[in-house]
Amino acid sequence: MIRLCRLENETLSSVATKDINISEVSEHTVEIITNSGEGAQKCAQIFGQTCAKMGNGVWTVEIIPAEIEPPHHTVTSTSGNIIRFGTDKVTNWGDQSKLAVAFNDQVLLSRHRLDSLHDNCIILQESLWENHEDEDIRRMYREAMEEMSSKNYRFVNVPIEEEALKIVSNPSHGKNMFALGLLAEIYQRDVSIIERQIAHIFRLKSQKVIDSNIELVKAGAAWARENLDFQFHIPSVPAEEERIVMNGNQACGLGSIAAGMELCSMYPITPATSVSHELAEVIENYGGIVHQAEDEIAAAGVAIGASYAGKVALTVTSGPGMALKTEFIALAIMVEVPLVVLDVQRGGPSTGLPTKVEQSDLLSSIYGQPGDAPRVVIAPRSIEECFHSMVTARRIAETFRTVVIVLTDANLATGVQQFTRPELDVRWQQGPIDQSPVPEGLRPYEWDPKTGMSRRIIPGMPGGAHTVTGLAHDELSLVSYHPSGNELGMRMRSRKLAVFQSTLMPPEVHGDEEGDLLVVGWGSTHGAIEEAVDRARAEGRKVSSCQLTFLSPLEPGIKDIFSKFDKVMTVEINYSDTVGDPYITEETRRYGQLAWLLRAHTLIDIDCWTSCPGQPLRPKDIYQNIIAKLEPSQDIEIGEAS
Amino acid sequence: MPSEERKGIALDAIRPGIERFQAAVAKTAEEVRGLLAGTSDSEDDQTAALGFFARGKVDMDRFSAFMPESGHIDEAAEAPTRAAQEVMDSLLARGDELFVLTVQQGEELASAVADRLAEIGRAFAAAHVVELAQRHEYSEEKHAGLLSCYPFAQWSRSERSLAPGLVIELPGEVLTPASIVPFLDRATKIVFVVEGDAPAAALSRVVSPGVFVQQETGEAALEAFTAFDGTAVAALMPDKAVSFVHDPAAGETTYERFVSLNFPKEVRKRAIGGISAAQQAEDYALLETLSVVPSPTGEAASDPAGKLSAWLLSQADLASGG
Repeated sequence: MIRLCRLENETLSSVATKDINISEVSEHTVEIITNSGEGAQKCAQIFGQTCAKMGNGVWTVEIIPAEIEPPHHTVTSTSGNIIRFGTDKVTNWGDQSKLAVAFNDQVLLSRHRLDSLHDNCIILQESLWENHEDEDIRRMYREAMEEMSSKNYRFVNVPIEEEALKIVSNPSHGKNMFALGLLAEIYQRDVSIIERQIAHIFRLKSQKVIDSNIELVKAGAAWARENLDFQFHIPSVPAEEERIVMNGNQACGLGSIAAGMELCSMYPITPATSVSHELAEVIENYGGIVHQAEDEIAAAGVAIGASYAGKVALTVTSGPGMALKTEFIALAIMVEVPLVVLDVQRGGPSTGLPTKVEQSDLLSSIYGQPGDAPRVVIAPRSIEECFHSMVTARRIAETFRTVVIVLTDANLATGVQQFTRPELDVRWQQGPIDQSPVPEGLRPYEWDPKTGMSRRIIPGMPGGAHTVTGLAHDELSLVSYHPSGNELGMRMRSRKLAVFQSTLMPPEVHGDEEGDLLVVGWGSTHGAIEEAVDRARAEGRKVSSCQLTFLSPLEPGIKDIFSKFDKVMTVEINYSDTVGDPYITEETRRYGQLAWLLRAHTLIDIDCWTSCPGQPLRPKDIYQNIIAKLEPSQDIEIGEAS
Repeated sequence: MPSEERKGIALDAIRPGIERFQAAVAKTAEEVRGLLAGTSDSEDDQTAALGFFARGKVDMDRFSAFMPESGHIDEAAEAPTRAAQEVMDSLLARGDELFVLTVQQGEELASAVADRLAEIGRAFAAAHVVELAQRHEYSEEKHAGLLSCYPFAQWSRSERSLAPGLVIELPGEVLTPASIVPFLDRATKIVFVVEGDAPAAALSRVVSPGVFVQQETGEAALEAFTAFDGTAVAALMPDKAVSFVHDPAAGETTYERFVSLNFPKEVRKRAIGGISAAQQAEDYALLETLSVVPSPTGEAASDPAGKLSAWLLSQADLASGG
């Protein structure tokens, strides 16, 4: 029997065999949602890796509860992963999931409440709860189903736990692999790749564990084969070049090794810690070390000390850690010691949302110092750029004897994407310093009056012994309170940034170079913004976008670019006031952080749409706000991300 | 156990040290390669050094005008730097073989070990030569010899911490461990793979408070040796040898550090190599003396039960009275 199946906005091009509808689609978004600790991450990790290895574009987003081990079977216990994969490159997590595997009704309900599921989402739901012996659980199930009845979800009951128990005694250690088997069959994934992934992930466990996990996958696939009447085919285009798959923290870690970093000092902090985990596993093989300091402040101090001694140093942290490192970062700027600081941003302020994404460290990274402390701030836009940004950051830091802050975020840190395998270049590793004897009479701060730059001297170089001080100092590095001396130091430190800015090129514009609206973003929102802009452009709207990567100093030519558009609006994952809210007027309104920066820099009346829901922005929300900006009278819901 | 198998176990036991050493040499060799590649300071080099992230965002020509002459190697320094790089590459190319020393009958153990460590030390010397060349302090006359031989005695404290370890295959007659004591410092780890008759308690003479010493017969388990953070010596001995483990981490007193000690039932009483029967008896006596457990009453116990009861009594502190 042949059945045809057409899904909304998707092209049907193939037919099915037997009773199974096979829909060919260019992309799909799947989520696996479980209680915390039920292995959703492993399941998704293997599924995502398999898709990538089969040549599909992939982007994954972790759903991590804010608390460690929250109570099970509650909406707050939701843990999981969203995998968007398609024929072409995937640059963001998309809009909504079209298929979900849910281990219980409460975690599913939490996703429903966040509007994460597409109206026609297919939901493979654990069948255990509907007729559970506990009346409270049955009641919760009924209430959840009632609440979700407003949507056209298609529910498929699957005896996940019952089937897993046929293979393992503890279903919590097996349901995830059974679910992986379901997905493998539904999306026709190559099981041999899955088996290899399982063997790799469980490489430190016994063969018995590996075998039982593979058996669970096969059982899930068999169940799907026998009981489900649909499949999806997502064509893949094998890449000509070799690709690798990793998340942003892994990319930063490996990128810093490629960049020749010799010391990474850090103190554990979510979501940055895994950078050091990646490094700790391998950096010693490349002659480097990871130093876990006693606190954030010490971590910065160790990195500065290492750099002062001629090593290539990195310190890794997140927002609260940046706050603690503030004084030491100022010291590095004052004594002109090269330093790379990686800030994996999370929700704030204070401890905020440790596991969630936000872009709220921009202004504090640029300006967060007492005194004038100019530094370079860059923001990679993708996981691939996370890798390569470390090489560039090192080189800028050394060339200009300054601090370079690399701003990533939790979205990049935990998201997984594949990219072209970097061809390592030995010149990235080039020794940091000239060790030839210091020329007679050369001073530690032999500032070139035109550029503010001076030759870096390492104390171990012949003739290089000198002290450094955070106090105002002269060219000899001697404490100096002379009024003109202090001003000279400030001018020279600032001049370097102007010189660096003179080497930057204007940012690229995605779309036409003039039009009605320019959307400006920075960092990880790149893919979602461009997708939203492309949607609007496909409707004939004159919208373009521009994703900034150099935030301090700003790329040149921005004002010229902006002036060619009627309106300019930033899109950011941070807070801004909405005019019309109580007490909020055009005069009192606080803008998004990039908007503040650009308004001050260009004196152009730049608007913003920002949101800080603790999750990445969706293209559809950005799209809606683009339309609202273009057609203010249009009656659509704006101002909040779903 | 076949000799090859024992050699494999011995190599595995010093594997972390080998990997640490090789990683450091590889990293240094890469840096030197980068240094040499950057000698021309060409635009291409500068552009490449800035990385892909900068492409399309940074004007490479302008940027390279501001880049320091990183690690500049001038003409005079280039030749010794290249020579140093070749030394590091050649040592890396030798793989495990560099860390396995075979001492033949009639050879002197100490000088064979000294020669091999001096050869390994060429990697450290290469790093010194690069630094000297960069600092314009390199002199062909004074420093060229470093690249062919860099004796252990000249290794710095940090170089000794990076000592990769050695597996020494040798006949029992040549096993005179006391002669290698000058090389036992910091991270040095040596495993003897002994063939044929050997003095039964040969390693007794290297027991000292901070050195891990292990003698094994039959199935050897060297995990503790590998895990020990410091100087360590082990010997995979033929049958009829004493087996013991002296682990400095096991206790403060000498007897506590002997975590195992088993004497063979039968001991040959004849000279082996240059070691007389009397000397071998002295080795035995030394081990017995070191492992004796002092009892609260002043008597000594050397059997396991005696050791245990003495220890229990000492923990109870009965001797001090109420």
